[in-house]
Amino acid sequence: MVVDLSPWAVKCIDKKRRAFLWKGSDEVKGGHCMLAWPKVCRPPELGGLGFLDLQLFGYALRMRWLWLKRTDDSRPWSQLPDRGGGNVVQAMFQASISIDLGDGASSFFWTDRWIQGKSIRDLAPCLFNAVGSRTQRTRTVAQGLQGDRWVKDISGALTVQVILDFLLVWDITRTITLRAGTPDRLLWKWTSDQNFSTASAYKAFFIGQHSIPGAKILSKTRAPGKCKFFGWLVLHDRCWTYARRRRHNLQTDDSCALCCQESETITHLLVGCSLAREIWHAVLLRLHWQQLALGSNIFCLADWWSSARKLIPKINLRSFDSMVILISWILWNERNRRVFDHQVRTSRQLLDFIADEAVQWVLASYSQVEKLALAHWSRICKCHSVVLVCSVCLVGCSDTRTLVFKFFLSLNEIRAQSRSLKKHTCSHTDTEN
Amino acid sequence: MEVLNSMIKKADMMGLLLPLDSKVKERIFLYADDVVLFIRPNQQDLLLTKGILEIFARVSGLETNINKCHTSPIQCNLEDSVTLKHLFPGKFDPFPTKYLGIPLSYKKLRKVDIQPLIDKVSDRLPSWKSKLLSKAGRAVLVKSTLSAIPVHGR
Repeated sequence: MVVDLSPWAVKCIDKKRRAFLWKGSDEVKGGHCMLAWPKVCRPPELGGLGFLDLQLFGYALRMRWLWLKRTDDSRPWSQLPDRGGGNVVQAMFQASISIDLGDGASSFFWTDRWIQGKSIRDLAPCLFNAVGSRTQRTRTVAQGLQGDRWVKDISGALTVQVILDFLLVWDITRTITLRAGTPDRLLWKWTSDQNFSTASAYKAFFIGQHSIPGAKILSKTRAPGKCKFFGWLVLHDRCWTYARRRRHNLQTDDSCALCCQESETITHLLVGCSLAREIWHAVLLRLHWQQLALGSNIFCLADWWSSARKLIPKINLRSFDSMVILISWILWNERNRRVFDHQVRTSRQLLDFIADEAVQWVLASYSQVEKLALAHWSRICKCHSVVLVCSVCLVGCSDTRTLVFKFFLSLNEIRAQSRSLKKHTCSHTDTEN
Repeated sequence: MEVLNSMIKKADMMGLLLPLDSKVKERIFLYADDVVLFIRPNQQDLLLTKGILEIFARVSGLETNINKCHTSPIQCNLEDSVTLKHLFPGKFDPFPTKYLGIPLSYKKLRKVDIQPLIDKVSDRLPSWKSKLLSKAGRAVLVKSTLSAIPVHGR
């Protein structure tokens, strides 16, 4: 917030936001929160949900005032004494601007970065400390260079280091010539057009932080919200699998609910388990992406995901990403079905289910998984006419496409009777034509 | 509204209004549907301002509803406040007050002043709503509205 919101107010608001997200009530205990709040508040590319960190966003908004104060004199408050907005804001602002030197009238000699993106403060820190703090803030470059007035500003003790710095600055100031008539230009470091934007200032606070693997890909993937949220939890390894429950002393046995062979971590469940491998293999085979098949030494879904992406032509990347989320989601659902409802689906049924789900997604306008849906149906029907319809719908307008997918859905109900199915398809193709 | 602006400016230029602090450039602020005027609290200035507002009302038809005006004293003594109340009988609203939905004060804001903001946040996330939403849906709601309230203050 623009006004300096006190930490307790930020804390109160965060408490509300946190409780609403994880539990949907007014208050929440730690156990309900699957991820620490500061991590949730990071931008999506770094593995957060992209909530605003109010403290940092306040800093960014207040930086805008400092920027306008330096660049736009016509503002009514530009002459008012500077409260500065706090040390963090000042320091961050100083670090993010540099000066394109013109006549030197509006840039400050001691503090601004006017020597090829560097300031006297960086180049000669000892000399800088020997100058009075008031002079540091007010001396402009034009004043300082005129008759070398900056030399008179030095008031502290002349130690060896100060004299060395002095010589350095003396040499530098010989090379500088001011361009009279051209005003100084303030350059902002974090945008391409070098003008200030609050968004870039906010993002600058996250520079240098490590992103978690896969977060960037996930943030660009198109999939229904709940599936993406699940994908996000997977990347953070926060799903309540048996292994995690055992670690928290909630149960003693942690063998996998799908294969009963290994410890059930989320990585094992999605890419290590025999059932998961079977599903992945079948789906990838159908799409003619055999080269991506899961190796035996996979430690995490994100690793495989990002390495497999490199083998895929660019045009198919989007559909591959959505497909990964879709299949992970269905595997997780199947696991939960077995654990909670005691219902089991075979791998064949699962594959059909994946295709149905893909069709549903396409109808919900996630057209990225279209390829998956089509591949499945063209295989099952083994009937040329359907392949024909498929190719028609690939090039046809979106209306026809929807129609065809709806038709697929109706096919689903009579899938068992393959003969009548064939007839049905043929007749449908005729009407289509 | 530009007319009012230039009228006040002209009065300022002719020296009819006592000057404010030298660092304050403008004495009138127009933002959205709000007008803020900075006036020295002596009788002559206040009368003149009232006159200007009346002339403006007669010309443009934009009558000033004195009862809806808020007056906030900055460094006024008791005598000035009495004159102020007499001439502008609207709501007397000392700092901290609210401008554009954000608490505004010349001192540090107290807990009581910020509390409405926090209440506003909790109003937007009733627990019945959360029952109808998945976690992903709640995340979107939090992102779109809850974060926007404290930033824009509305």
